[in-house]
Amino acid sequence: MAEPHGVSIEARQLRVGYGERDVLNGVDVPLPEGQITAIVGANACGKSTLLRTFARLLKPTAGSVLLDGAEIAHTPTRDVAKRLGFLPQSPVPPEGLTVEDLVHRGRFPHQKLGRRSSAEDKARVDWALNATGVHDLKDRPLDRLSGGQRQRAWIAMALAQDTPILLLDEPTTYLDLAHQLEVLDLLVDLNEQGRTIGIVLHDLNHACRYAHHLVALKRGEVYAAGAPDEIVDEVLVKQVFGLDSRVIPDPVTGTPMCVPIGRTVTRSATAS
Amino acid sequence: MSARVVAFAAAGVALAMLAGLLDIAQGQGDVPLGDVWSALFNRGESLNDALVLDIRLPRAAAGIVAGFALAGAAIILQAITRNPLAEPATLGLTAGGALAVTLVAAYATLAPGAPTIAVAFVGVAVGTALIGTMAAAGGGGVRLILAGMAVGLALAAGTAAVRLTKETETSGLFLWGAGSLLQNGWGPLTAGALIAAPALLATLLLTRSLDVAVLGEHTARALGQRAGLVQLASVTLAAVLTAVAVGLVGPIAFVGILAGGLARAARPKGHLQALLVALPWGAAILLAADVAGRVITGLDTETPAGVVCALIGAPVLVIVAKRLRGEVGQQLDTRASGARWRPRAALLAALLLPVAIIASLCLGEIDIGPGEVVKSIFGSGSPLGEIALESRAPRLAVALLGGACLAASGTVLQAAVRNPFAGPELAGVVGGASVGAFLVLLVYPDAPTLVLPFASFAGALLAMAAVLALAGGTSPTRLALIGLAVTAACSAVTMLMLLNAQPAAATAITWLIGSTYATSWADFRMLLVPAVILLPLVFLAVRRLDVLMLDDDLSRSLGLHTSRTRALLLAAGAALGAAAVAVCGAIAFVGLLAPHAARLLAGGNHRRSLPMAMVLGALLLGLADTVGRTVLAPTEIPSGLIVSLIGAPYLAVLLWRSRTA
Repeated sequence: MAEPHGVSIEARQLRVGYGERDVLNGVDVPLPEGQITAIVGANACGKSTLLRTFARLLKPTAGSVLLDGAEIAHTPTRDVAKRLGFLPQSPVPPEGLTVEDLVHRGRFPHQKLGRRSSAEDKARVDWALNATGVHDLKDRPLDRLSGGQRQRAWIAMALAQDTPILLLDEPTTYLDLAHQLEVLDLLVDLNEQGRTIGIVLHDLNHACRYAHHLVALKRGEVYAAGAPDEIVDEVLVKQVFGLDSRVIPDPVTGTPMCVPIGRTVTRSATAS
Repeated sequence: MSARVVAFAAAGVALAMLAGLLDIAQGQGDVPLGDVWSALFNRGESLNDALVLDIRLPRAAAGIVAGFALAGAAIILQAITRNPLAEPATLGLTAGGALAVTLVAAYATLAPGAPTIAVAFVGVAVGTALIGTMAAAGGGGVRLILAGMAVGLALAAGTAAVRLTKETETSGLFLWGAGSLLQNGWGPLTAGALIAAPALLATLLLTRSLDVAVLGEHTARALGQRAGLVQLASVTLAAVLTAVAVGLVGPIAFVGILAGGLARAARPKGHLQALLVALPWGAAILLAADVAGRVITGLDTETPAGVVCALIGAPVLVIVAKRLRGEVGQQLDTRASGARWRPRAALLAALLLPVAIIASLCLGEIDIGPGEVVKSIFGSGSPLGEIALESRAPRLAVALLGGACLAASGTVLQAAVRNPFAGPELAGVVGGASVGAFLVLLVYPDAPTLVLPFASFAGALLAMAAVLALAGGTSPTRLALIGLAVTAACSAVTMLMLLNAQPAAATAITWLIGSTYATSWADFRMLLVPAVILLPLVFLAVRRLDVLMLDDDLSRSLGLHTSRTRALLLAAGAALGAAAVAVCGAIAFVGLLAPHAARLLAGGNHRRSLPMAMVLGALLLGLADTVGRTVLAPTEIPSGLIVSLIGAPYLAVLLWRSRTA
C-alpha cells in the first residue's frame, strides 16, 4: 500500500459566486497538511461552496485554489483526481449496484482506457472495504443497506481513490448519533495514516472534538480559523450562528462544548 | 389580489378576446368583414350568416372551452405532481384519450360530442390513475415527465397503427388527430361546454385544497387534509377536463405548460389566483395558435392549432430547461430495485438467442426443420430450404442487429442522462430521423431507395446535434428536457408534412411505426458499417459509463471530464440509434426497454449490462419480425407495432413499480 505523501491545498483570496451574488468574498483558507479541518457556519454561509471549490467543482470568479503550489484550475482533471477525493452530500446511488461495484468505481482515475482492473485496484478496493467495515456487505446491493452502511460504502469509494486529501460534505447528515460518531472515528483513523481531511460539519461540538483545525465562516468570509480550543467561545457562537450559548469544556475530551441557550429556556428556568 | 395578478389575468382576457375576434373574422368561407359583424348581431338566414354562426363561432368557442379545460387540467396536474412541466400532453394523457377515440372510431361508429368525450375520458383516466399514484407517492420531477412522454409516444404509435390498419374508417380523424379547432356546428361543443363548466367550477372549489396539497402528502395529512380524497378529486377533474379538450379539438400539447407558466409568472397567492390567470391565457394561446396556423398556410391547407402549439411550445421548453438550475426532482431512491447480477438468468437469455434465430428461420409460409436450417446456413441444404432462408435470413439479420444497436443506444443514453426512461426516442434521434425520412417519402417520393436511410440518418444526427448544442452537455435533466422539446418540434413538422401529402401518408405512417418488412442484405450491410465503427467505441467506454452514472460532482472528482465525456457518449449512442432507425424505421421501445430488462439480469455494471441489453434488444426485435411475418401471413404486421404491444404493458408495469421512487 503506497503511503499517502503530503500534498498541500489552500485557497487564496478566493471569490466564488453563483450568477450575480458572491457567496465567498475573497477568503484565505489553507487546509493544514496531515490534519482534519472542519468548516462550520450557519446555513448559506458558503461552507459547501468552499469545499466544492477546493474540489475544483466550482470555478472561482477571482483568487485561486493551490494544490501542491500549482493552481488547481490549470491542473489536468485526472491529476487532481489522483490527489484529491471528494464526497458530495448524500449522493444518489444508481440502481442495481453492489457495494463492491461502487467502491471499484473509485479506482477510475488510476485505470487505463479499456484495460482490466489491475491487482493493485483489487487490493486497494479490498483495503477500502475493510477500512470502512463494509467488507461483509460487499455483495449486497446498495439499495438494501441502511443509511449508515450506505454512507460508509460511499466513503469506501472515496478511499479506493487513494488520495492524500479527502474532502467530505456533511458526511454525517441523515445518520443517527451512533453512526455519526462511527463515521467521524473512521475519519480520524484515516487521518492518522497521514491523510489531510477537509470536512463540512453541521454539529459544532463534533467539529471541536474531531478537528485539529476549525474554519468558521460567516456570510462568505472567514470569521475565525485555528485550533478549536483557541477560537471557539461564546462570542464566536453568537457571531457565527447568531445564538446565545455557554461554552464549557467537553467532560470527555476537554475540547470546547457549546450548550445553546435559546429563547425560552431561561424563562422557564427563572420561573421554577 | 396583487396588481400584477390582475394585470396578467386582464391581459389574458384581452388577448383571448382579440384572438377570438380574429378567429371569427378570418375563418372558413369567403365572408366579408361587414357580413361577419351583421351575422353576429342580426342572426340572419343567409349562407354567410350560417357560415359565421355555425362554423366560425363554434370554432372560436371550441378554442375557449378547450383552452380553459387544458389550462385548468394543467394547474391541477402541476399542483399534485409539484412539477411545472406537468400538463395533459407531457404526462401522456392526451395521447391516451386520442388512442381510445381512434380505436372506437375504427371499429364502431362514434358520434362527436358527449360520446367522444366519454371515450376519451376512458383513455385519459387510465393514464391519470397511474400518474396520480406515482405523484401521490412523491415520484415527481423530470422522471415523471420523461415517463409520461414515453407513454405518450408509445400511445401515439398505437394510434398510428390503428389508423394504418383501418385507414378508411379513421380518415375523418386525420385533422383532429393533429389537434384542430375545426367544428361542424354547435352540438359537440355544447356537450363539451356542459361537461367542462361544472368541472371547472369544482376545480375552483378545489384550489384551496391544492394550496395544501402542494406541500406534499404527509404535510397535507398533518394539516388535516384528507389527502387521498383530494388526490382522487384532482385526478378525476384533470381527467374530465383533458377528455373534454381531446374530444373537442384532439390532442394538443403545451397549452397547459404555457398557461401554467404565465400563471406562475404573475406570482399568484394560491391556486385560485393561478387558475384565474391560467384560464384566459389557455383560451388566448389556443385561439392565437389557430389564427396563426391559418395565417401561415392559408385557409385551404390549414395548419392545425396542435402543430402550431408544438412549434411555439418546443422553444419555450428549451428556454425553461436552460434556466433550470441543478437537478429538479432528483431524489434518493430508497426502494430496493430489482437490478441484480443474476448469472444463471443472464446465461439463459444469452442461450435463447441462437435458439430463437433457428426457430425464426424455420417458420414461415414453408416450414422447414431446424436441421435443414443449419444445413442451409452452411450451404448444403435442399433448394427449398435455401429459398426459404433467402427471404427470411436478411430481414432477421437486420432485425437482430437493429435491435442490438437500439439497445446499445438506449443503454448509453440512459447512463449519460442518468435516467431510466431515456432512450433514442427522447434524445431527438427518432424525431429527427422521421423528418429526414418524411422529406424523402413525401416531398421527393421519386428519390432512389438508397436515399431514404441516409436522409433519416442525417436528420437524426442534426436533431441530436441541436439537442447537444442547446443543452451544452451540462445537466442531465436539461438534456432530457431539450431532447423532449426537439422531439416535439420534429413531430409537429412531420405531422405538417403528413397533412399536406395525404396520398402518400400510408407509406410514411408505416415507416413511422417501424418495419423490417422487405429488408435485404444491402440494408444489413448499411447498418453493419456504423455498428462496426460505433459499438467498439461504446464498449471501450463502459467504465466511463459506470462513473458517469454516479453523480456529476463525484464523476468529476474521480477525474472524468464529465461534460465532454457525456457529449461524446451521447453522440455515439444517438448515432447508433439513428443508424438502426434509418434502416428499420421509427421502432419505439427497444431502446427504452432492453437496457432496463438487462439491468434486471445483469445489474448496474455496464461491462455486463451493455452486452446483455444488446442480446435482449436483438431477441425482442427478432421476435417481433418473426411474429409479424408469420402470425397473420400473408398479411404483414409491422414489427414496430408488435414491439409496442409488448412494450406498452411492460412500461406500464415499470411505471407502476417505480411510483414510490
